Amino acid sequence: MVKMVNGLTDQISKADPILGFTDRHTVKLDLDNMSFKSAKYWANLVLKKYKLRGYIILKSSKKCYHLVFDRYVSWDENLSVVGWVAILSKSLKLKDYLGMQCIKMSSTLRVAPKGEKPSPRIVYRYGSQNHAVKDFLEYRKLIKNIHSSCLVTQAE
Amino acid sequence: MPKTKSQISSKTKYAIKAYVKQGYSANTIQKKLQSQGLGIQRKRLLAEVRKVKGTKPKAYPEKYTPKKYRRVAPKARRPVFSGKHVAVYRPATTKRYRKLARKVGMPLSYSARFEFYGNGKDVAKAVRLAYGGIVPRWENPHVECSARAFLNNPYKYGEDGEWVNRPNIES
Repeated sequence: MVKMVNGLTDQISKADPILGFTDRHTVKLDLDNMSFKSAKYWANLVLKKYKLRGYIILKSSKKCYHLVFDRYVSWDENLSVVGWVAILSKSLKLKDYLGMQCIKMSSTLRVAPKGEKPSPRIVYRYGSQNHAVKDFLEYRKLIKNIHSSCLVTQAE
Repeated sequence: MPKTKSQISSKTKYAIKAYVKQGYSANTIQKKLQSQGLGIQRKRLLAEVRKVKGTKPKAYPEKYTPKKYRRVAPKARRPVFSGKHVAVYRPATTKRYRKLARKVGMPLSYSARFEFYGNGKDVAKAVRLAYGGIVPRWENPHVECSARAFLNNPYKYGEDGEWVNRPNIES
């Protein structure tokens, strides 16, 4: 039962928007409330089942990891991968993430900082990194540059 | 009637005919004509030689030009839209929306999102503009557009407002 709702009052705290990377053909997973070991376990399992060539693991905050796989896939296959992991790992947050991706018809991963959380940093790489991972990292660099230039503009 | 430049004198014509029959190449014929003071433009000489021989010009003359001297078409530019977007998202609110929300009793912010695509410079400018306080309208909170189109007419896609923190619901 909802006891107190702060957002419905007149108090609105301003914040900077979050920047992220969006596309339909890169397999991206947002694993929350999961240890690094489990994140790596799911990454290896998906890699083997769907033959995704390689992946990177990014740590977004404590016990939160992002996975990006190297092989480009169709949107249908992308949903299939995310759905498979969401069901097998019994992760409610990943199911929510899948739902959001279905609504938007594209999947997004955060790149820039969010509140007190820093921008996700790479903690592990495995296998091929020449296709989707390479493009993702290029875009990540671009987004980070844009974010820092926005901060400089705001400071001025 | 005075001779025009394009016309070749009959003397030259006869000379060319004779040299072709002897089997000389166009370059040699030109040298021989020049030594007699009858030199003509190479293009016209070749046309005359072809006329005598009864041959047609080559179908693909560029083939005989070294590759580095050939005229090259400008390189195709990388397509601007590659299916990848930069997402700018967060709950947002506007004056107009707050007025309506207070009347109806809705939360004072709504989930808003811009998704920009295009080249890096345009995307950077568009994101800066969105940072500056342009948010998607609540009627259409998920906007997917090219960064250049957004820069040309930002108020087509959004309106003045603020990006805010998510409403803190405690249950």
